[in-house]
Parts: sequence; structure tokens; C-alpha cells
Amino acid sequence: MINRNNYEAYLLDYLEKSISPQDELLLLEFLDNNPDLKSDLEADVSLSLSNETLPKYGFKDALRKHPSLEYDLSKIDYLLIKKQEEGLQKEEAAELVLLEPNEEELNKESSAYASSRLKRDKSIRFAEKLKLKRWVLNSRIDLRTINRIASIAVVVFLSTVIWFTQDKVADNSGAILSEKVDNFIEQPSQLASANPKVLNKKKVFQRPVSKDSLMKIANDPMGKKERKASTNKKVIKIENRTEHMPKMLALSGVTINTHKEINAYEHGLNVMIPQYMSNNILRRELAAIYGQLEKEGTDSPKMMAFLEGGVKVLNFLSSGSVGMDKYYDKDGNIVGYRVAGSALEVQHKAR
Amino acid sequence: MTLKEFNQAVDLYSDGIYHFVLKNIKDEDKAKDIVQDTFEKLWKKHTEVNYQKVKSYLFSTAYHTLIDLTRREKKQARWDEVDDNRHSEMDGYSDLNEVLHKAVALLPEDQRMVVMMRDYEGYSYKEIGEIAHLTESQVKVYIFRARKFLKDYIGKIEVLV
Repeated sequence: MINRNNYEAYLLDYLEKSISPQDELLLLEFLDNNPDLKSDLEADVSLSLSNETLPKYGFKDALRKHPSLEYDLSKIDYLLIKKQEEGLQKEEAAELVLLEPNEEELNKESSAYASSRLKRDKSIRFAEKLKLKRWVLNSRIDLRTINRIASIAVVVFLSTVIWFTQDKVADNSGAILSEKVDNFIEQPSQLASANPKVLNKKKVFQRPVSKDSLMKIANDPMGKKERKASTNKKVIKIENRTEHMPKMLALSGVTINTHKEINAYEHGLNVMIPQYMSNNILRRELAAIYGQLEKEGTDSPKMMAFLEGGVKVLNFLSSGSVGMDKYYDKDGNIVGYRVAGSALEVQHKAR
Repeated sequence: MTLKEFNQAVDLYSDGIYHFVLKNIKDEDKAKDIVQDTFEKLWKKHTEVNYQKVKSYLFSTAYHTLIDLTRREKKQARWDEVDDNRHSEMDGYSDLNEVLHKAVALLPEDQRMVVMMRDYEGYSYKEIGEIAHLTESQVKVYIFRARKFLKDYIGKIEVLV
């Protein structure tokens, strides 16, 4: 309901022509009833505030931060450097003129900054370009292909070397070290033509096994007597073994096979280990057999069977490194035997 | 990048990289080592590197190798400490250039590097930022400050003369 307290709202809508027809009728009826308010219908609602009437705020420039602050430079330095580096916009150029009205001074400063430009020394050149470049033999074969071919060639070469080395190692089975010992004793001049790798190594002089030594082991398997004697006799005279070696070899009946070349790895595997077994295990066994034969005689079928059994045991332990030959007379009786190991050969005639 | 492009890169950019490195460390042997090392690294990845960006890759590699080296040695070479094995300027240099290079040697490492890349190779702020792993605004700040220092240094020397 329109009354004197709210009629202005209806009146404003009426003047702005946004009033509904019903409200317009109500408003006009209300104004007829209140004629003193009819003059409000002539009010000017087009009045509005313009921008010009707003007060100007004159401190904007003072509030703005100059880009030079970011560089810790003065405005003029910043503008001069920027002019040189990337050029100035119109406003910036005008600002520069304002900051330095003296054109001569401005040009002087500009040239000072221009002189700070580094100039490349064209005399400095990298002289080793060829080292950096990569080359190909032809356009179809690149470095990768060459590398692959080289790799294959190396593999083939190594395989070939291993193949031939294996062949030689197979031939080298036997008492190789003994052969070198033999050369060392009897033919020192041959050392010069031997394999240099072998020559460079310190030779382990292995004393050949004699009948006496075997008997000694048979009588004193644990070496107790010998140790006892050595403790009583502190000073031991060392004989020159090389002088007696040929004689001892002849007496013991040990023969040494000859061979030509040694492969160190194969030598260790195929020679030294069996030899160690022969020296430390098989030798004792052989000595035991030999000692038994000495006591009871070789013509005993029982002892010959024992000897054959011992050889079989040795062959089992050393992968067939010990051989045995028996010699018979016309009547079929055993007249002698020959037991040969990797570094030992014993021949014996029956009593 | 093909092998041919790699060799082209050697022809085109090895001088610039060598120049850039030599001007920073002033040691010819080390500079050569860095150049060789840089191209060796490029060769290892040449199939992955786009030829259009090879210059940037090379300078970036050389720059970081240089940074590692100088920081490892914990010292900055100074022109007045140059010995016989070290690089010396050619006779053709003017007095102003000598003074300028003395001043450059006195700049902080970052400022010196970016100014050299800017002046010797003409790189933009953005390119320098990519090479040196800096923002564009950082590069700009370094260059502006370096310019101010160089200009002041030259001015002082001129006054003294």
C-alpha cells in the first residue's frame, strides 16, 4: 500500500519508467489524494556524478617503483644501459631526455657504455678440430659398424688362441717340469731358447725319487725319525744337488720325459697338482708297496696282486697317472715289473 | 644429429667455445680439455641432440664444466697472475680492450659469464638463461650490473691516465 512514507520508491520507478501498470495506477491515485506531492513528478532523475567531478590523486608517480631499482642502478644508468642492450620505448626516451637535458653529456655517457661491450678476439681459434671430428671409411660404414667388426675380430682371435693353446696343453701332459729340470742340469745353454715366461719364474727343483728315498719313506712314513735327527743336529750341510743329480737319476732308474713348451695355467692344473699328489700321497703309497715287495719278494703272486691293487688305487686317485708293466719269462713267471707315475718310474727285476 | 652435423658443429662452434672458456679461465690447456670434454659429451648424445639446438647444448655443457672447474679450484684467475703457460692477449689489442678485459676479470663469476655470452655470441637473455639455468630477469640484472661496473671501471682508468 502506498503511503507518504514509501511513495518515493514508486515515484522513482515511475520516473525511470520501470513501474508496473498496477503500481502506476496506485501511484497516480495516491498523488491525486495528496496534491501537495504532485510536484515530485517533475523531479530530474538524469542527474549523475561524472569522472571530472572526482578529485585527482597526484601521488601515483611517487608510489610507482622505477625498474632501475631492481638493478640497483640510477634511473639514467638504467635507461642508458637499456638503450644499448635492447632499445628504449618512447616514454623511456622522453624520460631520459628529462633526466639529462644536456645532449652532449648524454652522448658521452652513451658512448661510455658502448665501450663496455666486449669484442671477440678473432685470433683465438681452436687448433685441434681434427681431434674432435669423427670419421667414417665410407658413407655406408659408420663407426658403430667398425666397432662391431672389430669386436667380432677380437672374439674370433681370442677363440683361435684358446683353441690352439688347448691343443698344446693336451700335448704337454707328462713330466714337463722334470724336463725343465733336466735341461737345467745337463743343457743350460738351451735355457735361452726356452719360453721366457717359464724362465722368468723361479724353478722349483724337484729331487727325483730314488729307491733309497722310497725305502726311507717306507721305514719312516711320518718322518718322525728324520725330524728327531734334524732337531739334534742344528747345522745341516746342504749338498750341491745339481752335481749329484745325473748320478742319482741313473741309480734310481728314473727317466724324465722331454717336452717343449709350458702353459703356466695348464701346467699348474695338469702337472703341478698331479705332481703334488704324486709327491705327497702317491709317493708314500708307492713307497709302501715298494717296501713290502722288498721284504717279501716280487715273485710272490700275493704281493704282485697287492702291487696291482695299489696301482689301481693310485690310478683312481690320480686319474690314471700311474702305469704298470709286468715282464714274464718263457715259463710265464713274472721276472720283473715297471711302475711309472707322472714324475716317477721304477723298474725292478724279480729275485 | 648425424655424424656430418656433428663435424659441422665442430667447425662452427669449437672456436667460440674455446674463446669463451679461455677468456674465463685463461689457461690454454684447461680450455682445450674443456672443449674436448664438451664435444665428447655431445658425441655420446649426438643421436638425441637436435642440430638446431646444438650450439646452445655445447655452450651449456662448456659453461657448467667451467663452473665446476672454477668452483673446484676455489679461485678465479686474474690477469695479473697469468704465467708463461697461460693465455696472453695479442699485440693487436688496444689499451681500452686491455683495461676492459681486466675489468671483466674482476666481475663476479655469474656476471662475467653472461656478459661474455651476450657480447661474444650475441645470445638473447632467454638463451643465456637456458644455457646458464637462470631466469631471464636474473640474466638481465647480471648484465645491467656488469655494464655499470665495466663503464665505471673504464671511466676511473681514463681519469687516472
